Amino acid sequence: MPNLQRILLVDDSPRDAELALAALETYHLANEVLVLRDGAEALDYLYRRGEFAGRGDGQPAVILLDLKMPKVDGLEVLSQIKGDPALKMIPVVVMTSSREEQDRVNSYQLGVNAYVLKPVKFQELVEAMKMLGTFWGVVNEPADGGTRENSV
Amino acid sequence: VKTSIQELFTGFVLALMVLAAVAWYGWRHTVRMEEAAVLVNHTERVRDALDHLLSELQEIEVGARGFVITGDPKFLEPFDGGLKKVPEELRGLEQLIRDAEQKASLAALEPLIADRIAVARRNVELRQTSGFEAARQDVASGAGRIVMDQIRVRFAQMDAREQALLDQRSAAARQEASNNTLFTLVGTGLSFALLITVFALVVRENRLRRQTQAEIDRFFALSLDMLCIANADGYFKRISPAFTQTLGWSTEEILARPFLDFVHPDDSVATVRVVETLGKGQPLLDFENRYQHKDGSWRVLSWKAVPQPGGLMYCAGRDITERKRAEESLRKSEEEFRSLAESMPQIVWATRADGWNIYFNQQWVDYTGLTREESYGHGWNIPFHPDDQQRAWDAWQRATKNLDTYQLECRLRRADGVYRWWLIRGIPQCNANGEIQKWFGTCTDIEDIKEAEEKIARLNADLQHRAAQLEGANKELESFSYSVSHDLRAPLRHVQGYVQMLAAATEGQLSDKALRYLKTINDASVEMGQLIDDLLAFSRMGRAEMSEDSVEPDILMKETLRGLELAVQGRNIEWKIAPLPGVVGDRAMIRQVLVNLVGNAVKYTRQRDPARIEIGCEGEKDGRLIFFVRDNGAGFDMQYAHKLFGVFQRLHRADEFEGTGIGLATVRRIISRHGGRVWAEGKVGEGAAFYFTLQPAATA
Repeated sequence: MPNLQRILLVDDSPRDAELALAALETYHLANEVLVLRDGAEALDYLYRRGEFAGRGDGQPAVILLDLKMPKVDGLEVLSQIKGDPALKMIPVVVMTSSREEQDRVNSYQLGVNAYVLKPVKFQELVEAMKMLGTFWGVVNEPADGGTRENSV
Repeated sequence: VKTSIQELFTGFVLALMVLAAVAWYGWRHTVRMEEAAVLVNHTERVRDALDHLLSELQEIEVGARGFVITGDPKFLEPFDGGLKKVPEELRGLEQLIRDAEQKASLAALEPLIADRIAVARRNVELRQTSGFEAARQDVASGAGRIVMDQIRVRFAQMDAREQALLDQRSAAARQEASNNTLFTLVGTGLSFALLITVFALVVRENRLRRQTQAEIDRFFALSLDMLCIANADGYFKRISPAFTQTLGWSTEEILARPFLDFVHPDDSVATVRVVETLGKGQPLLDFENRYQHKDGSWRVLSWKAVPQPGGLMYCAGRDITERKRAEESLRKSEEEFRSLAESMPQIVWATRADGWNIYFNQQWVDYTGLTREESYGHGWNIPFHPDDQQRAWDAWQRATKNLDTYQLECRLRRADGVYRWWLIRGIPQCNANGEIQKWFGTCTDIEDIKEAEEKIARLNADLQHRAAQLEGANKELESFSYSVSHDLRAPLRHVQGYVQMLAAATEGQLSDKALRYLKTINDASVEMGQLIDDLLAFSRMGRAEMSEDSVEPDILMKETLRGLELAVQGRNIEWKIAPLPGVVGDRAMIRQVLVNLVGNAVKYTRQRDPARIEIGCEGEKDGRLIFFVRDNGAGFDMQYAHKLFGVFQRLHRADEFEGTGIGLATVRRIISRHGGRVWAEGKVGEGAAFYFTLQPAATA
């Protein structure tokens, strides 16, 4: 089995998360996928604080980030990640149902690596998750040399 | 250096005195010379007299001797003659001689002469009486000869003395003549020098005098005022060139006629009176009369004159015609100002620099009910509202300090006691030094304007409130759209996702009926997703920033057709696409219009074989290009044409033609944002035509 990094899925909607996981499952992706429910949790995870204070070393291969979330929204999370030299090299893919031009422009200005509209049809979602997972989780060589994160 | 008359006089008198001295001395010399001549003559006569006396004595001696010798009486004739003449000669000498010494000598001579005569007589008597011998003895005794010798000595003494006197006098006369020559030369020279000096001074004085006179003449000619000397006989004696300049007459013409000839007939009596007054020796000041110009016009002159002895008058006249005219026009313009001020609907006022009022028009009197007398001076502030008086004063001070317009809104009491709002404005009138001379101003009743302003302010506030509300509503709408785009789509996605998952999880276990239900659920959610997308697009078209590009509809048309490739697959469509002229607008929006209209045409011609779709431009009207998209599709009932462009308005059932009823609403919104118009024509079953107008691209 290839030494694959974790994928971080940040989405406040459990259904979206379940659908995304189902899509990934359909594709049989080998990466471990960690689902977080809002921006605050995502930041806690990345900075190893709160409930993630004791987690192992290493950062995810890619963060799939929803924009509209309670507490800390996706743009805020993106801004913090790309503003922190220690985190800015982690690829971030915004996955959103927003077709607002403003959201897209803001995301790219903050340094997002990709901006993906959530497909309405399940089959398309499966296809999208397959492409994302393959590219960011397997094909792409991360900046930190690909140290495998210890399992929680 | 100026020479005074005294100096000249002194020089002249001195010269005269010297000349007089010389003359006196010359006269005295002449007298002396005459005296000297008389004296010389006298000396000669004395000597002659002495000679005569001596010769007479000798005659007596010789006669006596001859008679003695001869006894002839003939010899007695000289003897007798001598006896007679000697006393005469002696008396003559006594009268002639003045010198004391000579007088003494003569006195001493007389007894000797008497002795001699006595001897001679004795000789003659003796001859007569005693005869020759006795007489001869007497003569021989020598008594006569002795006396005669003594006499001769005396005579010689006297003669010598007289000669000495003559010499003495001649020497004195010569000295006198020499002195006289010297004195005359010196005196004459001195007087010449004095006279030459005096003459030079007089010449210089005369030159200075002429210069002074020339200066005076030049000044006389220079004066802008009309300077003149007038005579009691009514003629000018001398006039300055200003007369000619002012009156046009030549100097000769003016001098040739009595000055009254030039005076205006109405002024001649007054002029004559004034001349009489001057004749009495009283000076004249500021007398005005009119003189006729050569061109016939009248010039107003102001005169000043002083009488001079001998009936002369020195006069200065000034042409004040222009000043008079200016005064007149000033008076007129003041009159005009007054009638203007009185005719104005506003209150008009004027004050001195210190705020002391000097004028109000009738409108002030009418409004305040105050008389002008009450209002002039400081009375102006009577109708001011007590709360405004300080402000009025402050504004006044400010305007005075800055030489600025005085402006104030304040309340003034009407005659009936009601206060109304007035706008008071004043403008300072300054002199050349920038000092305020007067203030002129107006008061305008702004009560109505004030009310209107308040109303406008209320309306404005209301408007601002509404604008704020509107802005809030817009914001809400925006966040609403955002929510719609995000939150409404998510459940739909979930519905579809879970339907799919359900289908996958129950593969082969569901009945056909159950499968159809699942499909319906899926289709419904897809429809709703489309609806949401269309609504969002519609809303975005209303809000999005619009650019103004130069757009080529031909290119957009190609893009549109490319997007419709899927929809036209398997269809038989006859396209008729004309070249489309360039327009100005937002490229993306115009593309959306074409997409919607052409898309509709494709959709509603689905049942046609062949379907005909025509796209073109009908030309220009009112500066707008008219485009159209025409088809031979299902068409529509013109009765419902007005509903075509409304949101969610559909003229076909969903099972006939799918659609959300938003496409045409979006088209209308886009075109109206471009300032254009959209309309449609159609007939059920025969097709429809959609028209829209756009601004043509600027032709280079």
